[in-house]
Amino acid sequence: MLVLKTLARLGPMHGYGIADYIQQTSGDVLQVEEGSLYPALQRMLVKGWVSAEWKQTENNRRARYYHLTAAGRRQLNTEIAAFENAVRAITKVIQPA
Amino acid sequence: MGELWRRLLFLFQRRALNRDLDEEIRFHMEMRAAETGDHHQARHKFGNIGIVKELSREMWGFRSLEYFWQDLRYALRQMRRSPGFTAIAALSLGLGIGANTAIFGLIDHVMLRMLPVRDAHELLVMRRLLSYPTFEQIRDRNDVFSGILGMHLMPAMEVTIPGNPSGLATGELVSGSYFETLGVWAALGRTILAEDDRAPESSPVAVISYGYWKRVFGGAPDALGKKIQVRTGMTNGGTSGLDVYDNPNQKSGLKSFDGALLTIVGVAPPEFFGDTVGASTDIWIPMMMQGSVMPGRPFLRQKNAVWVNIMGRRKPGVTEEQARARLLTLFRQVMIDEAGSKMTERQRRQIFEAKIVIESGEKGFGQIRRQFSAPLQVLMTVVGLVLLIACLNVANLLLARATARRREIAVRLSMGAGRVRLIRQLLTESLALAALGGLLGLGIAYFGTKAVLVLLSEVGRPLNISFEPDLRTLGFTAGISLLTGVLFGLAPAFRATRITLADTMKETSRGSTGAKVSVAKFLVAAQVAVSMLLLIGTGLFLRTLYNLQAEHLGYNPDHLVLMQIDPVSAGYRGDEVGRAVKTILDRIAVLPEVREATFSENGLFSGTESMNHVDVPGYVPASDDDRECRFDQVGPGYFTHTGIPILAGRDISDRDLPNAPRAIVINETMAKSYYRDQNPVGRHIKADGFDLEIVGVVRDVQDHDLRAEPVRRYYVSYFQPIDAISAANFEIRTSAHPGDIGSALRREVQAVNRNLTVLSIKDARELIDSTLVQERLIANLSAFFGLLAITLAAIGLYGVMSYAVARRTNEIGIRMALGAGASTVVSMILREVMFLVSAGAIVGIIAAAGSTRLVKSLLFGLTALDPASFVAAAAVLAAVGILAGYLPARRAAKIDPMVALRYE
Repeated sequence: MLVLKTLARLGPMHGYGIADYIQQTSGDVLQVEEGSLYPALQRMLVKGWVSAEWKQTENNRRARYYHLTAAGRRQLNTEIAAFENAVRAITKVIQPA
Repeated sequence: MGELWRRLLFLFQRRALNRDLDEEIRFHMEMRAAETGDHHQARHKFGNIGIVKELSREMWGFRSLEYFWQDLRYALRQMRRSPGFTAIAALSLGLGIGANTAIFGLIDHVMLRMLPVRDAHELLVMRRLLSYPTFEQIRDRNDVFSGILGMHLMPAMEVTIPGNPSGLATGELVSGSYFETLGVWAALGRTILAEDDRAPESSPVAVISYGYWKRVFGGAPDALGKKIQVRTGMTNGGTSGLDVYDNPNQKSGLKSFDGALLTIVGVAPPEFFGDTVGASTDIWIPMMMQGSVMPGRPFLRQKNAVWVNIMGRRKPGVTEEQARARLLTLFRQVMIDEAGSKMTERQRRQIFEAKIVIESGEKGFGQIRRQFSAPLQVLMTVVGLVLLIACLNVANLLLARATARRREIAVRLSMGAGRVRLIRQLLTESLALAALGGLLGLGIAYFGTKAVLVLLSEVGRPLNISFEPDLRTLGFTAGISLLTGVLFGLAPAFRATRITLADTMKETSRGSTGAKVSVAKFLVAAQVAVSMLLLIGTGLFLRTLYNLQAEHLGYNPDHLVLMQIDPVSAGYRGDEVGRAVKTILDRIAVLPEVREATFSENGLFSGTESMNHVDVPGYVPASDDDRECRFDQVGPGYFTHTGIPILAGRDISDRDLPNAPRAIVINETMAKSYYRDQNPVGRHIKADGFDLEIVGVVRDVQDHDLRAEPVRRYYVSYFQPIDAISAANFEIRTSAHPGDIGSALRREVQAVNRNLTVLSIKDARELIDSTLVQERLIANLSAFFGLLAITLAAIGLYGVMSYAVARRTNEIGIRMALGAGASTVVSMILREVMFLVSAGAIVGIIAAAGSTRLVKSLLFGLTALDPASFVAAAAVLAAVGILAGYLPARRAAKIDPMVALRYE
């Protein structure tokens, strides 16, 4: 979800950028190994939620840019909805009555 | 769909994808390093690069395929490295799989295959011969069948095609509804149609099979319109009374005894072999042509000649049960109508008590299916067991090899290879082995089936079953190969990977291998058990064959030639038959090669059987069954010439002529059951209203079926018939080789009347042996497989014991150092072998005792628990066991204590 959201917000981005962005925006709360991003990206490629192409970065390096597909956008919406549902449910349970 | 497509695409772009991933990760690391200025930091933050790559690749979803490919290549390398092991394993599997494939192919063709016609499951067959008028009635009055066909099979029809030498073909007389009911259309021209049923002799046409068209006419389109001449003498129907034969002296429409001249109007489609599995029909002829195809037997209008087989296709919506019930009711109704008002109470009872079997016709009329189903089941079991032994053997080999590979596996486990992954790899190896065995098996099956078919075919009646490895057989082979691969690979794979690393790395030889040896011993004991089962079966079948040998016939079948002629189709009736047969006999008897000759109506092991009821003054029968006797009408000197011993009185002689007192010779069983200890010679018996004087008593003989129990039987003179004579069988003792006299005999018969058909000339020994084809095949095959099984078991036993001895060198050395003699050591090892063998044998005996039902129907003269067979099997096993165990035991006894103790 986070990866998809990042792509939705930033537009096409390479793996490094995505990892960086997630870390910064989460205020370094989400401290995962950066490497675990790549298997996730491969899975999304297979599922057809993202597509990839090689492009030049601003400082003229070759990087693989991922961008969200229509299917990916749909998937993001479903996931957000599911997540919000879960959060609502949890909030209800832990809130004092 | 899109995902699957992408996965496939990924599979083919694997190299590019890997490159992309590598570059991407490198980019990531460089960026991070550039930012933090610290490579270690970057690496730490990223995690394990190897695992990330591995996981990413896994996402592409073809890891299993990739692993499989790796494993397969590794397996093939392993095979190349140990060609001896591979050869032995693949060969034993190949033999097992090949045998299974061959027998499955036969079962598939004979028992599972359906007729190659439209919706075969809708067909029903009535197991009863009908007269043609009855068939017509049933065909026209039924309301549950969309069509009913009638057919009559003529296995040996003489065919003359202008420009070709005349030959024999399988013919079939069929009703006009035949092809339509089956749903078979002509490949060329037309089939036989309803319009061919209009009137006798109105449609002189024929349809030939695709195979016959190719074989005889070379597939030429101009075969249509060609004329062929056909005739046949023998029928496989039944008649009662002489009135069913036409009288050639009367001016009837039929005068020709040359047969029927037919025009070919069509060719059947290639896949349609006929309506009977195992027999393929060459020529179909309209039933209306019966009279001229079988000269002298105008059966079409006769109610007491039964010769028509029927098959029906039920209408859509009618269940099989309904169709069966309706057909039975209809049949009874027709029979009652035919009997008319003159029907007696007894006839009525007979009609209603008659057992009529109506069964599914999806597999055709198939006699062969019933005939061969029991032996094929037994053979399938036998080959299944052989495959099991082969599996056990290979499992044992793999186990031994796994021991040799313990270090390799231990190293791989300690490097972090998953156990599941290793098992998978070991399984791939055994599957590759099984696949190799399967390929070998296909080859073995191809030649094996041909051999079995040759063995199964009776003399002069080849089985028409083609064995082309088709998809079903290939599927079966692939299936059992896979199954065997898993079966023999799984256990060793599990064992091999259950290794405690420390133990293996230390390579201790003491203690840690005990369990492994015991598994191997268990496998060997299982092999012994299965071998025992097969050996017992072999014993039973061999003894059955022995019990059925021709030596127990009661007369000598060597140099005895049996010739069957058909006087009826040549126009002989009544007393003329006897005169003609006597004329032929007189001509044959003076041939230089002929030592003695006689004749009879029913013949030996060919022709028909006759039966009636007799009245014996002074004997009170408990029921009608007690009055029942078989009989034959025989020529002068019948017993002397065939060599059947005369126990009292005299032979039938050439004075027993029409105007002499009627003479009868009875057999031992008949004498015992009617006269007990008294001398029957001179007594009188009544049969079919004739008064017969007993002139002799002869020994019981087997004259039609080697399996038959002796029954009451009597013989009257051919010239004093009590039942119209319609056949003639000559029994001729020759000094020449039986095969060399055929043409001379034919010549003499033709010299008497060129219309006389010689139906067959056979060597009695060959003919009788051919009735044992099945028994011989089963005995031979089970002996072969029994031998194979015990060889495999012996190899297994030898291997395990050698291994055990090698492992125990140290222990044995200590024993010998402490004073144990060589003989003590030998007997210690042999005791162990005998323990294994007896354990296996006992299990085998129990299994054999439990499976008697399967083989009971195939045995003769002994029970399925025949002690001799059991004892013999046990003795053979014990001998083989000692042999296989002796070599390792000797090696153990030769161990030098000093060397053994320093062994480690």
